[in-house]
Amino acid sequence: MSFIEIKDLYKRYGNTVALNGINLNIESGQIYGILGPNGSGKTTLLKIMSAILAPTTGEVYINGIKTYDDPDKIKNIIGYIPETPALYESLTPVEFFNFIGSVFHIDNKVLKQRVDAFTSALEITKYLNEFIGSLSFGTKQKVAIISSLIHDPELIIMDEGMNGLDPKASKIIKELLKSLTEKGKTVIFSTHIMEIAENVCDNISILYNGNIAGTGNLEALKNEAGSSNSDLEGIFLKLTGDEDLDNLLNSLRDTIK
Amino acid sequence: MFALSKKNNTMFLSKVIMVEQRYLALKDSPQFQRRIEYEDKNKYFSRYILTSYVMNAITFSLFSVLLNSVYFGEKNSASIASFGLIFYIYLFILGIYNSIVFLNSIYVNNIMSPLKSIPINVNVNVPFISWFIYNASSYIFIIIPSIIFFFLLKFDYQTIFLGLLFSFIVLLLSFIISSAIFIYGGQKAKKHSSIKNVIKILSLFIFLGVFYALLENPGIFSYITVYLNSLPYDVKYLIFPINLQYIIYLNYNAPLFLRLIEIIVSVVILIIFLFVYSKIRYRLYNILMTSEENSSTEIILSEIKSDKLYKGFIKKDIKSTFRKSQNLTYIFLPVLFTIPLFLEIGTGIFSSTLIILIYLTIFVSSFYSLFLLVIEGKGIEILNSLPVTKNQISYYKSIFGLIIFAVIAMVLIIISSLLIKNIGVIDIVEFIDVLLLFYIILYTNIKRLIKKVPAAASNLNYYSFGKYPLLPVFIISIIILTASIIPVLGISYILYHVVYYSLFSFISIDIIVNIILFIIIVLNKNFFKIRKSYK
Repeated sequence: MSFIEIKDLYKRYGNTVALNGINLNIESGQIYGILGPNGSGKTTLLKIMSAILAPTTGEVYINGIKTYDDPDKIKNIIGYIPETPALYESLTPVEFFNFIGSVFHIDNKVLKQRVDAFTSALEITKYLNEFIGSLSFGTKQKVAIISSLIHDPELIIMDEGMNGLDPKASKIIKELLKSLTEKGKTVIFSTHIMEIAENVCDNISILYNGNIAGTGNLEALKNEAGSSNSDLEGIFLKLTGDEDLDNLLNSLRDTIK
Repeated sequence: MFALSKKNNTMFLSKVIMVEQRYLALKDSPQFQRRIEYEDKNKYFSRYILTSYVMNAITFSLFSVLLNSVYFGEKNSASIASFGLIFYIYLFILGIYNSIVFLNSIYVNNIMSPLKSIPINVNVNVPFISWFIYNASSYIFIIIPSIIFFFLLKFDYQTIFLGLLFSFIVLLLSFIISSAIFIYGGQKAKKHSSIKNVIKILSLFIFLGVFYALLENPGIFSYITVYLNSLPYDVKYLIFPINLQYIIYLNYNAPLFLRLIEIIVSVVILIIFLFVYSKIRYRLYNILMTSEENSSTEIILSEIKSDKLYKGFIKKDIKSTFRKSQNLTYIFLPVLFTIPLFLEIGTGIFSSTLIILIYLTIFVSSFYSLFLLVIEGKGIEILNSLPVTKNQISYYKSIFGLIIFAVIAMVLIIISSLLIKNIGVIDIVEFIDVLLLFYIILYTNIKRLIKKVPAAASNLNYYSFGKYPLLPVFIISIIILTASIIPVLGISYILYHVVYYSLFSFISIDIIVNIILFIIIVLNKNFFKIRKSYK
């Protein structure tokens, strides 16, 4: 049994089909990328995997547990980082980490060690006692990432989690995620940035209009797209039907004239 | 959501602000998402706002007609005038309550900030216009039947003119006061000091409470009444706002020149308030337009320390409430409405502290049920992603509310004891009794309201809980109170006839009943649930 199993997953908002029968197996100990254009259903899929949203039909199992049957249990083993950092703006990062520590019953000593380690690695130690509301977007994102990691989750789900990070922080996070997978943890993240996906992900699924347009490692995706010389961007465009960009760009240039 | 039109953009933006508040409240709900599948968003919200407005207008009109029709039938113009004053006070309080909720919602959700980047002149009056046109003006319907009834009895056109004029003045005044609380509350402050915030907001509310008490019952300040009565006949008609019933209603016999003066004075009062508003509106506008930039740069030193879940939760709520003046206004607002009670202790039906405490319990618990969730704001997204059940959130929020209420109730008991000059064990028993009742009501209401919050909600504001969120909350509070009191009345009746009865025994039995209700309603297996620890 795979660490994550998604079976015939549908999610509808009224008549809009956000996910249209997704089937996916994800093994543990890897970084798994979910790619897709805006509105392709990435956030919906990640929220269902995080037991935040209930599917319309279908099932998601994480480590053998059906997500929406026991969301509490699932949320205990997940670290979820939303697209825009959701934080309490009138708390300081320390106070926020303390709150997260209380929710996950983390031992004081362990909490301190982890906060110290993460905050110095991401260079936010000097902001620890300032109000979150006064921090820059990138710093808030770092606080959100740390808060999702301090309970040592089995599965880390990042929805565009690299947004707003400076290159150094981005590099550190990438290395951190790699080392976490070496310890058997699983990381799933959605991104628009092909370079990150290409460099970091062991496997990738491309989501388009609520369907899986392609899945596997880079080689498998190349085969699926039938373009052995393409990079991930080329494969992405081919699988999502947007390869003929020249016409679109020409039309746009004409409009601007 | 909307294409910007240069024409009449003040009205347009006023509507956008109102729509955006509703949109943020509803956008994550599955019902709304289904709805907009087959209905245009603009049309949906226009209808939503219009139906809220019409329902408000109908409810207030019916309420007013119901109360006035008996006196109209009896041709009792004096009673209609007295009720008229009460309706104006009600209008004033509703105006304050509603405008505070409105301004806080715009600020917390950064609704006006994005307008900065649009190449369009945003009129400085947009917040007031939006609030008045789409919301507050519906409250005037509580006054209209009273004015019409009075007009039909006395055929005095001045009643209609001044009645409507003062409706506007009272709403304008309430908006000015709310704006002052909002501005003075420290939105621009660079410090988050909780104690300073509390003192500031509390002092404003005490000032406001005294003003409200004065309006509700001028007799409390008997020297003012005595002084008023000693004034020449002509002068007492002109004193705003204490003698509103004279100015608007009971002046039909006054000489023509005096009535002209009254109209002039009323217009002058309007001009004065418009002047005050014109001074305050720029600051209000600037704060609302820059809500994203107003954050404290203060340093708070605290150690890394993980608490028990309930402690962590309560600490988080205390900090995010007491550091944000908008949240503090939510905490003090319900107490404001009960301030006149403090001044009436020992008189009439308020001779017993228990009655006041029960009134306070119902009132504060009902408002807190909503406000303790509203203060979560964008934080609801965090809670949704954490392994915390809705039951647990209800428990811990209720404990936080209980702590604040305990302080308020204690202050009331101390004041009451000082005024009645009698303190005893019964006060302690009463205190325990109302705390139990408060917790049961608060927990029940929060638990019901939080179920309405969509699993993927990214924001909570006042409008997230329906068009009339307070109505069902109050009904549930009254039902619980009845469930608590009725058995006690029965048992007390039997005791009275069989053995013995006293207030002490009444309250003691009520405590037992409340403990039983607490066990039935509040306690269940989730309360004792211990989660697996991840270290």
